[in-house]
Amino acid sequence: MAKTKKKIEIFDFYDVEGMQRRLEAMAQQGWIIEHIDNDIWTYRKEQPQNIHFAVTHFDSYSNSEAEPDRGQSEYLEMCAAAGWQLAAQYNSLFVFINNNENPVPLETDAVTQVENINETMKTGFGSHRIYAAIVLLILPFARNLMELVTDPVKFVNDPGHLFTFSVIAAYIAMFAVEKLNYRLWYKKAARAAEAAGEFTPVNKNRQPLAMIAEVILLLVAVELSGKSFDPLFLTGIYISLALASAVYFYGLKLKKSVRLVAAVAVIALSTAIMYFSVNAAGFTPVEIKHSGEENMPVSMEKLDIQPTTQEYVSFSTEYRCFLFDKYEGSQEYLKTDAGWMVDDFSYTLVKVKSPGFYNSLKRDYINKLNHNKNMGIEYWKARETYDDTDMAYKDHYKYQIFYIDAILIMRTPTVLSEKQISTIVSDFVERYI
Amino acid sequence: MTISNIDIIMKSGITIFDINLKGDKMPREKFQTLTEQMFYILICLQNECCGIDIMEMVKQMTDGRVNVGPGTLYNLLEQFNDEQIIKFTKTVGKKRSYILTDKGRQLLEKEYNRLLRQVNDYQKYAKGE
Repeated sequence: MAKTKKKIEIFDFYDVEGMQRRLEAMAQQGWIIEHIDNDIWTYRKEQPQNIHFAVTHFDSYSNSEAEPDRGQSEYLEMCAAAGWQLAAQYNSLFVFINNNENPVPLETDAVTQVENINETMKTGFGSHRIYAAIVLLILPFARNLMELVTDPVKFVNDPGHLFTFSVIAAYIAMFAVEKLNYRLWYKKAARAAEAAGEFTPVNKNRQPLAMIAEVILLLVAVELSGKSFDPLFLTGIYISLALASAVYFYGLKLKKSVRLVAAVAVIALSTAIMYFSVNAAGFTPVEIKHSGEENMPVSMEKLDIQPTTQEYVSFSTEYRCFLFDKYEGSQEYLKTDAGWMVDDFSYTLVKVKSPGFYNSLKRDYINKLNHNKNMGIEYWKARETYDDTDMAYKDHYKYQIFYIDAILIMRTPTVLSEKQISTIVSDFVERYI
Repeated sequence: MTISNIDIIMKSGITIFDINLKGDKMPREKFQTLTEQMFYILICLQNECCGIDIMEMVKQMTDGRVNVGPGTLYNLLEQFNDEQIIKFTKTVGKKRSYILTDKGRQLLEKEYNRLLRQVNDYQKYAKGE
């Protein structure tokens, strides 16, 4: 029979009574706590026994057994004098064991106990987990947020952006909820300690639920990226998780430096696997660029439009991602007096796959152009149409045509005739949407 | 994060702006009044002694009625020291000794007078003496 066993024990760091209950229950089954490493607790096999445990936080802790802090030495000495022997320590978390039948509790003043936990939250164990992660995530999150605000279309074009943004947002939300949970408990515990001299236990250990929520949010993020069912991508995630778990669970006997190297190796490997799976699966948006008017579904030539000048170049792009497909084309000439290229004729057809995204795009476009509503709508076969002279170039015309799940934006050097509109609809719009 | 958590947060009316990163002060004004444990610890510290001595002395003084746990005692000694109610005197091995300061003596005296007034008021009004 195994002499030791490792178990995942997930508790809120201030749920000291929950931890005590767990340790006592394990001792009754003959498993005594030996070592704590984050959420992995190691028990050793002994006779089943009814012994007392005390879990407490000591914020000016030292992890060095050879040279503990002077205050920590004094603390441990005082605890030992009262029969409380240190059984395990993980950073500020101290677990004591007492074999006496009716020992004096380690903590006999609830106010001091709650204050002590709050001090640890500010400077030690609790804050490490929350603030360090937020500090690490806040910069990429701010960058993502700025990109989302300044150029939402470009932002949602990139599933990678959405994935990163969702993961970061989910984690920040998790940390905020964790902090809020602690604050709710603290306010209640502080009042109860003052009024009744009682320590307020944590009602329910929600940490396992929080971890499940974390996994669900991660899957939602993957879903948002549009490739949730891609087997290669999922394989990448699962292999990463499995390897990381293996190092985490079974590397405890290794030296810390070895574990650190192993952890870095896992991260590097998982990143490589993800990169490979993402690229191999065509996770990134598809962008096909053409030059020359022969590749354009509609052009000035095909519509018989007289160009402003005969010297122009033609480009077209097909862009496909999970939120929408976009077809762009332009025929540009060099405006010699200004020194830059000008679209003589251009189109953008966006075939939207998400109704929510369609509405926001539509609102955005309508604010920019609000004239000649629904003129020629029957030729466009659309739900709504707008046209006007272009704000930037008054000698050009701009059309915004809204279909049920597509938006067409066109710029032309002349007003489009009914025949030209019909050609655009039959040769381009109806074929592509 | 669960729905029930969110419910609690919504019902409590607490917003993100209520999150105080530095934490609140406990409602008990620090050392305006002393708890029984504090009172006996300070009595012990009229003479120089260490934490282990204090635990034993308080037990003896009160015939086991008041017990001071080592965790509580350590934290209270730290707080008393920070507030200059006691001062550190010497270290022998792992044991640190402390003694009451003048501020600490005044605090103990103030608490004694407060308790005395309470006893007098009880005798006067409850017992009618």
